[in-house]
Amino acid sequence: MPRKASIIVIIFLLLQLCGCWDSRDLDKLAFPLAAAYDVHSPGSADPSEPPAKPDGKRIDVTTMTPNLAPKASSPVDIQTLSGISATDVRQKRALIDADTYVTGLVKTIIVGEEMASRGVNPYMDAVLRGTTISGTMYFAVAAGRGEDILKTPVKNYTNIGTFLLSLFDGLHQRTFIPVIRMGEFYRSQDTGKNPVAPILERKGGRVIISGAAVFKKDRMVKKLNLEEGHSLVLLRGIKGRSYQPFIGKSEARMHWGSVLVRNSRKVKYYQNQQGHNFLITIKLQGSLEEHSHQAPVTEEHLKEIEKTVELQMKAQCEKFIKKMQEEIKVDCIDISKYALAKNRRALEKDIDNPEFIQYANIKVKVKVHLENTGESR
Amino acid sequence: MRKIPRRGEQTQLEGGHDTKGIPDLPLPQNYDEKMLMLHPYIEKNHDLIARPFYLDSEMKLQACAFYFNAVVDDKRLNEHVLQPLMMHSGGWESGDYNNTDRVDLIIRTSISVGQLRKTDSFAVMVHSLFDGMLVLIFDHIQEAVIIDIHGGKFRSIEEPPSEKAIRGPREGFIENLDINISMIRRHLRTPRLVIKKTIVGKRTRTPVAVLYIDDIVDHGLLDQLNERLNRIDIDGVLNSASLIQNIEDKPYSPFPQIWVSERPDKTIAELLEGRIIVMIDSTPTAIFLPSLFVEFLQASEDYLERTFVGSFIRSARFLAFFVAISLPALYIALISFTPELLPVNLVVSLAQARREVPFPVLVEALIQEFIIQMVIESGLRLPGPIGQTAGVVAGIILGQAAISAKLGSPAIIIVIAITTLCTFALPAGPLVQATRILRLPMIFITASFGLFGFSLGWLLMLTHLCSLESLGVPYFAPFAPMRFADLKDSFFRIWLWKMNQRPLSIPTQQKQRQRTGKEGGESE
Amino acid sequence: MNSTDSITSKQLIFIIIGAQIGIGIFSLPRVVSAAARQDAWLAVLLGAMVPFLILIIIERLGRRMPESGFVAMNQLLFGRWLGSVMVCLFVAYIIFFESTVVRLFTEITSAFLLPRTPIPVIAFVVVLTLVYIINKGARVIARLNEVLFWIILPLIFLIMVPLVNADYTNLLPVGGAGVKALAQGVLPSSYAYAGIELLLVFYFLVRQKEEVIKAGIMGLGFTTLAYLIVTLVCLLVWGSESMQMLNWPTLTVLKTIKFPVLERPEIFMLAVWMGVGVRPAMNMGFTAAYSLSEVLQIQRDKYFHLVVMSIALPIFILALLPANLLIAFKWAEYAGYSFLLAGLLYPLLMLIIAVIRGKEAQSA
Repeated sequence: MPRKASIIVIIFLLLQLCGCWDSRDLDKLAFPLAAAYDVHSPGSADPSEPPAKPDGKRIDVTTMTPNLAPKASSPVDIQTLSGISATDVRQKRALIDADTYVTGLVKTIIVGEEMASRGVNPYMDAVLRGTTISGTMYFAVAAGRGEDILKTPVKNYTNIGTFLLSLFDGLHQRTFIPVIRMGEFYRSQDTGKNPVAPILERKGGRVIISGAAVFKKDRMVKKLNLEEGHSLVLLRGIKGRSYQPFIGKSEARMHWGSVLVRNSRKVKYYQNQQGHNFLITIKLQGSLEEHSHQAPVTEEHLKEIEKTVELQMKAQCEKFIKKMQEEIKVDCIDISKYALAKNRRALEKDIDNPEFIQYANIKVKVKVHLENTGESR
Repeated sequence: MRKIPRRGEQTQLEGGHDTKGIPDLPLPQNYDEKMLMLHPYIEKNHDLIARPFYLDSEMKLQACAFYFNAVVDDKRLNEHVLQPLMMHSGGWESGDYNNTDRVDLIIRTSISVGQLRKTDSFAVMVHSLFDGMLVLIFDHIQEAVIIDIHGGKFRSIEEPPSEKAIRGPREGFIENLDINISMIRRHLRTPRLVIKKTIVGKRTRTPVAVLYIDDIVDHGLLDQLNERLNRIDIDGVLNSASLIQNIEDKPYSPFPQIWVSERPDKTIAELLEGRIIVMIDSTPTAIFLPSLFVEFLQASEDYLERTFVGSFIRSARFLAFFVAISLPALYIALISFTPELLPVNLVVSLAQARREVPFPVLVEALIQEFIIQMVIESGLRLPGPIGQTAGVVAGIILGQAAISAKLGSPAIIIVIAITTLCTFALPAGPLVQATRILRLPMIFITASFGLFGFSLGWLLMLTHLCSLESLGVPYFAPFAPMRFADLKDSFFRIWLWKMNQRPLSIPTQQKQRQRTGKEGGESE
Repeated sequence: MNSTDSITSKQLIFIIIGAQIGIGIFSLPRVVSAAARQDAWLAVLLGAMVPFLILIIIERLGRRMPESGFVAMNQLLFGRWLGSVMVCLFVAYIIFFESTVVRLFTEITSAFLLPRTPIPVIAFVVVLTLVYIINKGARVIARLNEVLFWIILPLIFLIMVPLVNADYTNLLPVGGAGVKALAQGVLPSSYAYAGIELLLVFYFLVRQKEEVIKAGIMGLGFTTLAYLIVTLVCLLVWGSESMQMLNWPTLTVLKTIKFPVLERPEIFMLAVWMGVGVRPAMNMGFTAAYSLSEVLQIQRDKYFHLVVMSIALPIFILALLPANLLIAFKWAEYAGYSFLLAGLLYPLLMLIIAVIRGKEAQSA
């Protein structure tokens, strides 16, 4: 027994000496926190390439990395390199940067508008395939080029990477705007589903969210403004919380205010001779936050406010549905899956055709339930 | 205390003997012949005292007392043996008594000492003499009388330094076997407590006592233990360690398979659970068998505290055990292999600190580990107050200086410091040593293979733990094989009045130790 | 029977669980939903019928000759020479199966944890660990299986956390895939239950033989439950379509969630699992070594480690043979077919022969 044990021990020790292939020392690593993918443009600063023609086959990858050196001139390092694919860019990076880039800590990916319209899947495949890449990173579309967003200086935050992360982290608890992570982005490309993403824009020296982008599988087909984004979230059933203003008329007097509501939805689907029918019931639950009325709110008045909000939201949603069916022609509110749930094999071939959503009967019902009125009545 | 068997028992030579030299001859009757046989010993040992005297006033019955100076109690020798024999003797010279009657007469009427026996074997006589007894030889009587009037100075009973308790008795064993056994007898008064003595060690001839409670213990285990004790064939048993290493199942393992303690209260608790205790003269430790892994993480204070507090501390100790072995390895694995597991801010700050250090993480960890081990060792060797101060000073200064000299990043100092604290939070000395050893292979295997290596290292350790057995009892019970009932006392300590059965992991005869429920006490 | 090789019936439960739940759990949802689509979970449930059948066959078989051993049983039923050949074939099957397990295990480790370490090195370390563990004997292996089970249990709960992103319509319509697709899915799902045929050897090591059926059902029940949970979670979160793109959907499912301190639960799960994913290999390796030592009548006390090493060597070599991951998956498929052969047909054959011989003995 001791001899056998010693043989094993010796082999073990020899193995250790062979070399640790995988250990990488922390100080030789760089941790990009955000990345942007754009269509190649000749103006982007890539020192290793001669000026190239914009031929649509190349992409620019911009990464934002915090500078870890103790006496660094600037706290972040933003670099743009171009290549045929995202991983091609990684090898280019080896030529100009001494640190190895660790992709596992990227928390946000921004895709430029133009690239999004061309279809992101071929370029984002590396993100899905990479084993160390986080599946919970946020995905957003940039109005314009992604690298401009990353290059925006930001106050009060260490760098734009942490700013974007904090921005997206609590976003759906503060307003109704779709927030999507990479895992969800891929899942939403199934039959009958399409992803949506927020749009970031550089305006007035700051980065703000200016709308939502509707995708057909992996191509962006429409940019929505904030109000449409609102309706999108409600109809799509993305759980969130937001202040919802309302204006109404009561007893020949205008009154306005806002409610703080959480949303949820239920979809009923049935098929008859007219085709596919969907009934979307949106439920908003929350509290009254602000009211222009001076007198205390009575029960009936509360119900009136509820009704006002209901009608308002219903009109908004129906307007959006009309836009979706006539202009966008893509199921961005995630209701086809209920049709597939009833009849997958029959429908799955045609459900992604624009005709399906164009001719579907979609009805919306909104229910508002205000639980309390805050501290005052 | 040497073994003085009761009347009627065979007097044998136990513990083996160095077989060259002392022939097992019957003693002659004649006084002079006996003196001749003992002459070589008297010549060689100047502290062997021969005190001849007469048993009668007419100087017809010669006798001699042999003893080693200062091993035998002088006062008792003078007052209880020499005085009655020399002063108040009489009546032996008449020839109507034969030999045996005469010796019995002497013993029963004149020698006022509690423990004595007689022998007619030369070897037994010499061994008893060297075991520290007083030997009386008489003319015209074959038998020699062996009297145990041990003297000498012993340490007083005080709290054992390595097992301090905040609450509870402060008695600890001392180096004398008889007094230790008496401490146990005093507190465990059941007539079922059995104490058997034997002698171990060919030259030291150390008395060893085996204690158990007759109707609880499993006799199969007892037989195994006795067999192992008989098999021991060494020169001397100086302390519990030499005995333990000879009867352990797997002495190569870093994990101790036999538990020791210096406290009588813990010893009695173990006896009540059905364990067997072995006590050795000249050591204040008691050895329990069989031992389980969980015991090394139990301390007697746990039973004195309230339930939740005791359970909390117990769980903390398990965590400490895990941390003590794994923390440096985990640090290396996370930093060198998968920094993605850590939150972003932590990684960034760690990376910034690491840029200043020129060594790879493994070397940094090993340097710090080495420094802390040396601090511990030197703290042990330095006398008293200097040791403690030196330890503190070394710790603080070295830590700070190491960072300034760029020998380590602050993170590794913290890691090593926490690890060391957790190591010494473990209640059992042998386990502390075990963790100190096990940390190093863990560091190496993790430095080569990352988290995979860490996982494999723990797998190997678990396998090893599962394969250990203490006197045939699985060591890693109650975790494997899982004995649910025993989990009551592992990660947490359940209410004392719910511990109705003895631990299942130890084979015993009687499982019930108390009845369920409790009368009186808290209201629901 | 050496006393270091006997196990209790409770330990049998954990051995069965340990032999079955290995790395197959990572790719199981994809393999089954390739055919059965959204009813993959039904296929997994139905697939449990196969090992259940095997369990009953083996138990009946063992009941006829409770005091013999696996090798002795073969020699009794097939005659000495043919029986030994059958045992050797069984051992060869185990070696082949185990090499696919080791290879896939190495592949996952290489993909997620150690990308640059060469595969032979990882495989070697794994095989070395296996040699160390198998050498300890059945009792230690049984105890180890028990301990590892309790460590794995929290991981099963961890897999359920991504259910916050679940979409129940991914499962609907239930049964919509059609009977044919469902049946096609049952076949690959039954491969995941491979490991139950080790009962052929372990049956004779159990001390209380009458509790084997109960232990087998409990072990099998837990495995089925675990596979069901994993398949359901993967279907609910990813959907049967997207899953086809993923090599190991179970791990990718964990990528979709994030904890405050533990940012990457899939790496954490892998780190724990990789240490214990060798359990099937461990149980299988012991079975092979034990049977081989019996058939060649080698004394186990002295020479067991030689037998173990002689089994470990072909496993190591075979594990290195597939040139890439996809070929390794193909080998795993073949291993699945051979499981049906060795696990279902072989005991069935033995049972039939035993019945015939029994009738002969009765009528003679």
